Amino acid sequence: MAPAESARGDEELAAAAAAGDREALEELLGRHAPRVHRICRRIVADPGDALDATQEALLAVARRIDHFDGRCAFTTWLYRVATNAALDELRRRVRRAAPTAPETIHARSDDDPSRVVDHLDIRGALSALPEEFRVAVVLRDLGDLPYAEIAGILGVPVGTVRSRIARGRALLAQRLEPGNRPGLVARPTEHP
Amino acid sequence: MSDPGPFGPDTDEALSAELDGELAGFAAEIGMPEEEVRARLDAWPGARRRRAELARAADRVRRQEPGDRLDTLTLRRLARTAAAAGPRHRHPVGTWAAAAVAALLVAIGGFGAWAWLGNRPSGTGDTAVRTADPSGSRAGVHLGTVPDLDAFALAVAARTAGVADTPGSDPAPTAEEPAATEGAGTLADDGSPPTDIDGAQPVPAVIATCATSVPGRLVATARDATTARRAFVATTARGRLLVYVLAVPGCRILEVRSVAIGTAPGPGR
Repeated sequence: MAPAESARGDEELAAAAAAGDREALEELLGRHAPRVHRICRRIVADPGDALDATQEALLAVARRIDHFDGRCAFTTWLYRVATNAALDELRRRVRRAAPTAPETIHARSDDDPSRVVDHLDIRGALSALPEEFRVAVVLRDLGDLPYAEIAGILGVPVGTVRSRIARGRALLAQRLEPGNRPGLVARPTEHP
Repeated sequence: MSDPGPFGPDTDEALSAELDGELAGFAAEIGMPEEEVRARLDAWPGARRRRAELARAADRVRRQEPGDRLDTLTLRRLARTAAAAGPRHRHPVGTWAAAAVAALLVAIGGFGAWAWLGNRPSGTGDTAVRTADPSGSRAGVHLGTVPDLDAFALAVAARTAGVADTPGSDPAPTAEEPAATEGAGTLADDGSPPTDIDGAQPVPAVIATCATSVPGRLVATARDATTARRAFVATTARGRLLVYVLAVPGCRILEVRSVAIGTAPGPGR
């Protein structure tokens, strides 16, 4: 049976976890694991690698929870750790030069088939982005972080973040807009 | 786009920042009041279409996709595994040095034990138990008794590296190879009744059950003689092992280490 989630906030749980409260740590990690996984999925192309990155990120959070000093939001700190774990996984993948495993999408019966195609499109489009654009876009659009926090995570000026996000989105728009998708040919509307 | 917009190649940047409520920063950077930037964007005929394109791109990144979902059990196990690692408290350098020396010593002993156990003939009731992964795709090897987790990790890392250098030897039987059952239920190396917490349960079934609840591929298991707990290793990213120590009933993870294959586990990451 899943442990009941308390109403305690992230920072309170983090403080308790840093003091050795393992239940608090587990609750904190459980609360954010889906989001961490989604970030890793967007940054790392291979689903297996994304899962590894998720595990590494959560391990890093657990091991270093006593380093969280509360000067920023817990989620900001968490995303920094998750981003680093995902980027580390990308580096390892490059060193291994392993082929990307074919992706299996576990779609539910109520999933709209067009969304599954959309999913493949966004994965492909994101993978094609330069890494620095991809990470900035993911932290903004998935992490919902302000530019200043993204700048802090990436160690670059805010203006650079703004530029990377804009250029990343522009490239995504180019790839995702109907008629621009690779392999898709715009068909003229048929008139009777 | 033939018309680059009011800010030339930076028009996308302005529109994108506007979408995020960050237009003030853009305006400040070009030395223009935010209202004027906004007015120029609004006056541009292509603004509405371009805004919508950029917004759709952002929305697609944001949207939950089928492949994003992990089942609840997996997510819970990820969190539990990580929580088991706990905060890594810093220790004085001298403590680490002592720990490293101790780990090296026990590793040598552990590896010796493994080498001895690994070369014993099967079917003699010893603990050279091969555990089958219930997924059916992979299996692990039982390394016998090791004195502690570091020794266990090192033995697995050394074995993995050795196997990689020795074509033809295979410590991890495949699904096609039937899992050996010798020693099931009789866990003690010396033939004495098992005293650890999982009692007389067959090792393969117990460990295999736990192995399904953690990410990765079951590689090896061992008995932790010091603490009377079970340990096993699962691979995760290629080149990395996660070493789990389990309280077997309920598969509660007590401790986890992450080490790279072929390297000695250090005193924490």
